[in-house]
Amino acid sequence: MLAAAFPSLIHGALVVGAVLFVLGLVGILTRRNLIVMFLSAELMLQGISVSLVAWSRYHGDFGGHALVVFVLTVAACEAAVALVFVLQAFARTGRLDSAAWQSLRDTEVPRRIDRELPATDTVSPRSGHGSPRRASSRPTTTAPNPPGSTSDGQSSVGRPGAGHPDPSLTGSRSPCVPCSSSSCHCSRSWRGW
Amino acid sequence: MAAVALVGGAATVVTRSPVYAAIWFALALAGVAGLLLVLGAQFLGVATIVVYAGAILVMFLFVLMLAQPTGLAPYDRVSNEPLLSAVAGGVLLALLTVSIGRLSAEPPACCQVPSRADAVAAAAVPARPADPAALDADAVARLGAELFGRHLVAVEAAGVLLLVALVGAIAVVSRGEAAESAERGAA
Repeated sequence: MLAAAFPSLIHGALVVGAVLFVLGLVGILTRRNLIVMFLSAELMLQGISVSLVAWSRYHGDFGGHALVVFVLTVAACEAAVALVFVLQAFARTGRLDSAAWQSLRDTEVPRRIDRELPATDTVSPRSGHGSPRRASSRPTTTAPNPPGSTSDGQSSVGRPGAGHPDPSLTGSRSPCVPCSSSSCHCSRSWRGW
Repeated sequence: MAAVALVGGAATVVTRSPVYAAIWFALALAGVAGLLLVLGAQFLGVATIVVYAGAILVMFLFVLMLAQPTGLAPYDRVSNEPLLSAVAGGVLLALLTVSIGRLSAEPPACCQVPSRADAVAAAAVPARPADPAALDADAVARLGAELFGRHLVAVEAAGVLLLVALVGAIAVVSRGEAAESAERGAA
């Protein structure tokens, strides 16, 4: 069907590139694991590369090829730097969840609350985890909160129109004690909800 | 090849386990590399396999092993707005497909309204696509000549970028560890 609609190789390659790009886009929008979001970005880059090479073949020059070489280079740099940041984020929150950083959101954006999770998952998703050193030594840092933020005040708001939030999900974050130097320390970790 | 790439890409997005997602992404990479080979980009096909599957993907798997809890984390089971983003992706894909399809049925250059895709196709493309066989002969050598001739400054800049990324990554790690130890000392 696809071959009938797009008879030439170049059009087929362009369509494949577009589909790869859109798959990566949907992956970035939907997934919450930081690393899978990153993989989706790489998938978008692959789609772009296929499109560029197809155009380069169409034009009969090497401009697209040269651009793909630079895409590869920049992707390697980006992967190195971004994975460092992902590891730092994991060291701070103990999760690879992008929603763990939602206190960085705008003030008018409602807080995301995981209602769909099974009840057992809200207790300790890190059970049996391989790096207990960070879990024991720095269990409760909520570093993304600037000292003046009111994350605990927003935690009971939930989404608009979402009815009353489930107290087992929203109430598990006890408020932070006042921030001393650079970070707030809570009596219960983020992964409680 | 296209089927391999698309199946791998779709499974990357759909799979719940991040480790399996990385492995499916390797399959998608293999498909893309095959597609690049078919399109006459031998160097890029091999470079995709070497750089992506050999280096970047292994780095991903290392980070996953460092950071992934055993079993499925709850945030891997729940997705953000799946319906909305699927609709957005579908709309974007439809737009792209329609514009690509219009490229094939391109009106004559005298009387076309210059939409963006048509303008690109009409302005930059010779009357018929260049002979692909001429591109295939000595493709790697010609790509090298192009890279180190026309794009020499960009190649140098890319080298500097790689160095800066390396130094920056190391700096971020060392500063993060310093801050961590300082916090531990304060606590």
